[in-house]
Amino acid sequence: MQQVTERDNRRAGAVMTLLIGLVLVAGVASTVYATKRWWLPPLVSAAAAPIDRLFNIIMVSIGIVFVLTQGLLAWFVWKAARSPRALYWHESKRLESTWTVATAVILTVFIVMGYQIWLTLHTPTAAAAEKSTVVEVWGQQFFWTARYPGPDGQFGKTDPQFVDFQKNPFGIDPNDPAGKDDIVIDGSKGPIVMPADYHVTVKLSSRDVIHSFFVPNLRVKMDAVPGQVTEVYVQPTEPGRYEIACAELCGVGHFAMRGEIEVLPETDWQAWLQQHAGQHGGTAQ
Amino acid sequence: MAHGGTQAAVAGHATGAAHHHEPQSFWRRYIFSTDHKIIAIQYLLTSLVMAAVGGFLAMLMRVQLGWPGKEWPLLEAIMPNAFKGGQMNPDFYYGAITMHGTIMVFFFLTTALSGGFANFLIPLQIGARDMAFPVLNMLSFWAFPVSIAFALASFFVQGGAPGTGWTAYVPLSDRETAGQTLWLISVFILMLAFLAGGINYITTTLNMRTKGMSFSRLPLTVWALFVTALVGLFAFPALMAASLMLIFDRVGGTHFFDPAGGGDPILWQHLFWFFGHPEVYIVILPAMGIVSEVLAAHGRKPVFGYKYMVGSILTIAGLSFLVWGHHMFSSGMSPTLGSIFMATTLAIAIPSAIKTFNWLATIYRSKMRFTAASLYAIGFVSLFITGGLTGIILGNPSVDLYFHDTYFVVGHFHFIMGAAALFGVFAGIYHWFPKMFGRMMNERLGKIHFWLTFLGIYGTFFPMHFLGTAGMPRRIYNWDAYQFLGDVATLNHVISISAFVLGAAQLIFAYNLFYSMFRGPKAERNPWQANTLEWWAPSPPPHGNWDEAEPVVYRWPYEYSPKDAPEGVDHIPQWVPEPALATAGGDRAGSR
Repeated sequence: MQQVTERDNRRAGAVMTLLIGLVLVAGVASTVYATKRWWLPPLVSAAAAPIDRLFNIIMVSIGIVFVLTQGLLAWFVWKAARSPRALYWHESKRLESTWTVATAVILTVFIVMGYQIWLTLHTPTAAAAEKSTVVEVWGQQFFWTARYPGPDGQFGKTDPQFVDFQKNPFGIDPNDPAGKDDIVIDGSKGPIVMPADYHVTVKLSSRDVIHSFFVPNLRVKMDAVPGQVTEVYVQPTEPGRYEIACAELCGVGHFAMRGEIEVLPETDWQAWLQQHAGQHGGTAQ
Repeated sequence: MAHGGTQAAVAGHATGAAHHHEPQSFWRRYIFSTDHKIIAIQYLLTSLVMAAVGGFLAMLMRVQLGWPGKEWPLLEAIMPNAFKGGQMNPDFYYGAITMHGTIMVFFFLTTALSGGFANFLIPLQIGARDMAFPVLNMLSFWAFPVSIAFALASFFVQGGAPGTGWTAYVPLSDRETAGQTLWLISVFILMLAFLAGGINYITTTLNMRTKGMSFSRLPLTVWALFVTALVGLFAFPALMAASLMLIFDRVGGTHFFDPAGGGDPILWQHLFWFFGHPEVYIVILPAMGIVSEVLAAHGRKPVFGYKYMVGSILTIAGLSFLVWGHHMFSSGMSPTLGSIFMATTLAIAIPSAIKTFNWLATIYRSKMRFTAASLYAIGFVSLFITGGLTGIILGNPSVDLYFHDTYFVVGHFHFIMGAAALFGVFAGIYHWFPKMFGRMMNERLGKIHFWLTFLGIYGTFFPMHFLGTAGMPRRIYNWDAYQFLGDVATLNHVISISAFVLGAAQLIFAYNLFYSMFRGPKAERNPWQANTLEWWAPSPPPHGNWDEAEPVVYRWPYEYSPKDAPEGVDHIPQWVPEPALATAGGDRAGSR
């Protein structure tokens, strides 16, 4: 073995302590700084408020554990470089069962909290609820298309035989009166519109490969899977424009599959519905 | 062949010295060898070469992500197709992400740990002369370069490497160009090779332990490698079946995953992650074993909580098959399933926490020798804490709806299964290099390598959590388009520069490895004064491992700094019969 002097060893131990200390301090400091600069974008969905709350609770908890465990590690490393003899100590039923139970208790709390929120997120808005609406959103390489039931609140029947990518991308049945006032929006040409303070059910599907409907400000992400319909429930609060990013690798144009949602105040929304009723062609405005 | 393989295995059971001829020809000895140690080194070196390829791809990705839109005339000169016009083209970028992931997970980490270390350590640490099936062992290794050839060939076919990520989600992978088929064939062959290897490890551990080596005396490395092989036995077939089905879909006209023909694209995700999540533990469990072993040997202190350590390994292995759905919280699967997977996922944090606390308790009041090996083991604990904690955020499905497929996930898994497993590999190489090659590595270079790598890892992967919190999706070629991300340019510059430091630091390791292999100072039998059986064999051990009778085991492997040992004795190896004999002369390491 290469000769390592006691002094060299102690120095190496000190450097290691310093590095772990640096990780601890820089980790906490950069995270605190990041909350000002690179944090969750402003939340504009009432339905998702509990998500942010849970995130904050877990973040603070793991922050405390991070400081304690990295701190202990740094301290033990410092001591280990200086101890004259190692301690022959390799079992402590009490200690081991304590930290096992403590970890289990903390995680059980997280499981219970997480379960409650998960449940509320998946409870569909009752159709009877005031101020609710449904939007169908289709993903395809590399843009989003949306369909609205129009002023009558009813989607028309669709059939693949009527699909015309220019004039009728959803294949709305021209013989179904409910479909007459349906509205189709090509997301590559303009924003997908949603009313503020409504319970909005977004029904997702895909024409080709799997895409994922990610709206950071609404805290939703749901895959759009060909052959299936998936749903998310949102409740936008602030009028404005919010970006949609595709979050599932969907091909070489994946990074450019950007869309926008425009949240309108209720009066503007009603006007918008009237104005666009019957537009099946998939072009906005 | 007559004496090379099977006979050595049979002789492993015989007491007394069987005479072992070394195979004489170069080909038999170093290329088509049946010696588990040569096979281990073949696996290890091949996997390190692949790590260099995978790392190089990562550097290219960081070039693009650090400064999207910038032109790199120099890179265009080297790789005219990938950098047409000076900018990396998106096709190449998406091929690079697929191959970086595939290479690092399969061809580097799984192979180095479950090919390299499992082969080297299992027979030596249980006192066997070789694997149970040496020829199968050789075949399992030689399937590996075939698998690599298929994967790398995809770069050179029409359409290039598949741009579908290492997860190859259907239907995208159903529509991808020919490279995807090569990738699937490669994965299938590799899984077959891993299965053959795993059967060897399981049989060898069960049947070929030397006298006295009961399960309660097994080193934690063997426990970890043995359980990993069991996990692989149940996980690999899922991916083999899935990849075969997808090959049929692509070339045979079937519709297993194609919704247009009545198939289900989500089925692929279930099959893939039923393999894929255990795979995470397939790379981290052996690293955990190595870290436990290295901390004890270099800290001169028994591993704390041996029984809980073994229990955690078994619990993690069992639970690893019940958590795959946490990759699919936003896939549209039933929310009820989501809540079950949340519970199992957070439950797996319990055995992981136990292991972390046990490592901390092992370091507590140890007398640590700060070698490159032990630094990597300590670094592993730090990385494992950091990466483990962020898993608690991701395991919660409602929060995961935001973080899924963002850079937060990229940061998380690079800490816990990328960097931590990498640190396990490095700790293992620095620790067992003397036994593998009979020479010592340069400690000074090893330490410099560690300081740079440790800082490089944190500098690269810690800021990724902020990118993810800001909402940056993973697998995007260019983040310029999104306004909600705000000012992520600074973060991406920091990450790219740290990644380049991290990459450059590995050149020090490569130099140290190859220089020491031929020019390093000769190693003693037991340079670290460790307790496990491999240190009883010569460095490097001959074909058949033990130059006389197989060792007999008298105690557990962690008898470091025992209380009532004579003055000057700080360890009693497993092969020493009585504590009284454990003087400097009793440990054969001292006498040679």
